[in-house]
Amino acid sequence: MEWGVALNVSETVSTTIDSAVILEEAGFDQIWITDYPSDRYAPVVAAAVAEATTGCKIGLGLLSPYLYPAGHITQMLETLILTYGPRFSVLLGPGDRYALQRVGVKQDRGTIVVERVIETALQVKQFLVERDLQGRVFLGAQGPRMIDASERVDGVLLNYTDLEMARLVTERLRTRKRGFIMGLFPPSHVSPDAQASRESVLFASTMVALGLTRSLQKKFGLSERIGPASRAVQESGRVTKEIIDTVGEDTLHRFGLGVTGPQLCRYMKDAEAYGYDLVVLGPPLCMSSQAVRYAAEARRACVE
Amino acid sequence: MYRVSLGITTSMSVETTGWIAAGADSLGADGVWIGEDIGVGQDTNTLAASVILQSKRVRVGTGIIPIAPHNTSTIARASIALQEMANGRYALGIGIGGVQDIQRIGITLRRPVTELRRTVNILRALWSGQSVSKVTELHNLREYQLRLREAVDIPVFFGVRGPKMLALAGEISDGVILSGPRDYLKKAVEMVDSAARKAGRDPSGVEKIVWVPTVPTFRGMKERTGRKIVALIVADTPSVVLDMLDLNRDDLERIRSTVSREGPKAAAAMVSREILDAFAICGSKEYMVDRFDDLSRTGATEIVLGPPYSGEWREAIREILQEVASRRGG
Repeated sequence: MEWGVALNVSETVSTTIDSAVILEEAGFDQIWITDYPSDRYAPVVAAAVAEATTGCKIGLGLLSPYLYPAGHITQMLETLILTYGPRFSVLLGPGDRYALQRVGVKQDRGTIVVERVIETALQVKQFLVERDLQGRVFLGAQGPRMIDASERVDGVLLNYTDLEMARLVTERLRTRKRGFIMGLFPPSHVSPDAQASRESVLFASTMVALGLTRSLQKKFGLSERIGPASRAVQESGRVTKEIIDTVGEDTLHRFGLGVTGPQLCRYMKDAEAYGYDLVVLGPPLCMSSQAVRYAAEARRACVE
Repeated sequence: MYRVSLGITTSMSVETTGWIAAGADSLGADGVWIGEDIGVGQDTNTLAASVILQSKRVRVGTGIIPIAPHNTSTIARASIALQEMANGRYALGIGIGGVQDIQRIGITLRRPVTELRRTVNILRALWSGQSVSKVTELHNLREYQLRLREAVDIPVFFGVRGPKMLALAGEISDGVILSGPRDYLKKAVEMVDSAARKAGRDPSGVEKIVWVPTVPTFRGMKERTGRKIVALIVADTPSVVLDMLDLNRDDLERIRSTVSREGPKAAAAMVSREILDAFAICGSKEYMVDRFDDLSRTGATEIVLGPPYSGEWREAIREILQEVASRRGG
């Protein structure tokens, strides 16, 4: 089981570097650099992390093909892999529709989005193979189409927490190829205070929950909670406290991991038992230096 | 004394750009400028990051990133990350890009000067932490804001050629990256300075970087390589610039039509020594640094050395920078 953390939200590059060094020393296997449209450009931060760390794998993403065409993603990877070695992965997915709208990028609707992401992922993978560059391509997935398509690349990362929901992937990918990675990438926070951790992930968990397709909402029995909240966000373009309350804390904890150190350790073992190879602790964890240090301690304590 | 920098482009191999990045400090260069060949080779910002990370002293700048093919938000947030990593050594060079280059990827701008001005205003607002809403021919930002904890200062350089663009550079930029024939460069500096004075600025506060092809024939690079490159440049130079030159216009037109019909190799033979000298710096290290000195006297504050890189280019760079250092008394 590999441990990962995602960095790069509002932190400066030097804070991200400090966090990456602490986490690598604590035994984290992967550092992911997020690429939200209002945050620092991921490949640049990834280069800084590669320079400051010794061997951890480094992921870029989620990268949206609506912001970066395949050719641009391959250009990023070429420089990174040839300069810092075969340590890099990319995670492709549609991206946050509302955040992309704010920078003038309009996503398609429905299955066209999924097709575009898959097409881009395959182009990037083909480029890496043709150039004999060792890098991995992941799909960020929630639903069955993307999960099925992920078999044509190197792995799939789900952005929800609930392992029963995540069983969807393990059931669909029973005969996965050798080296294929199944991972989870939920909003996360780790602290000694369980309630504080749970509260810290509510906003980010709402964003993930609202991205769930209608068919999956129905499949997981969440339509009544998420449907009205989705409509409210479409009207206002923002996630408010009322919208978070509409979805409800219990539902949101199926999408986010707000835990103590021992709870994190237990979750990692459970995820492994379900057949997962990797858990990346997503934002907002990285926004707190204290949470980063606590996650590092939790990792050490869990392995000991 | 003027500064001397090294120029690289995204279409160069990682091995070449890596050698220059790693060696820039010890070679005695003052900076590294990175030109973007649209859609080709390395990602400009990632390459800039690797140059910053491999150096400690030199200024690292993009020279230039064409604004139209990139989302302004990407330019803004890449620049923030680069400046934080560089501790103030980073400079953002932007421009419209070669007309043919951007047309090739399906982009046309009706009001390029206006859009460049807007881009600078947007970038500076974003870097100071403001929320920006702007819908124009090129931009479509709605309540967009970077997640910054404090404002970040990033100098903005323009890579531009036409008179209106040069005037805009004098008015609002921190510096201008100039390329073109020698007579034009002199006039371009005058236009930038005049616009700066008109805007109430001290012209010396606007840096003038000159980046022309350098062909060090004393270390294996062939003069015909220089002639081929100059043929290409003549073909790509706007008529408004050619009109400013004291060169035979018929000769230049013959080169242009031959490049377009048969390619630069065929046109190379038509590039006379006079035309070669006007568009490139080609010769021994002493001759080349003499030309740098000439450019400095016409107002250049920094000269960019290379590309092309061929022959024993590593040795050539080392020797040219040593020649510059010896004239500085170093």
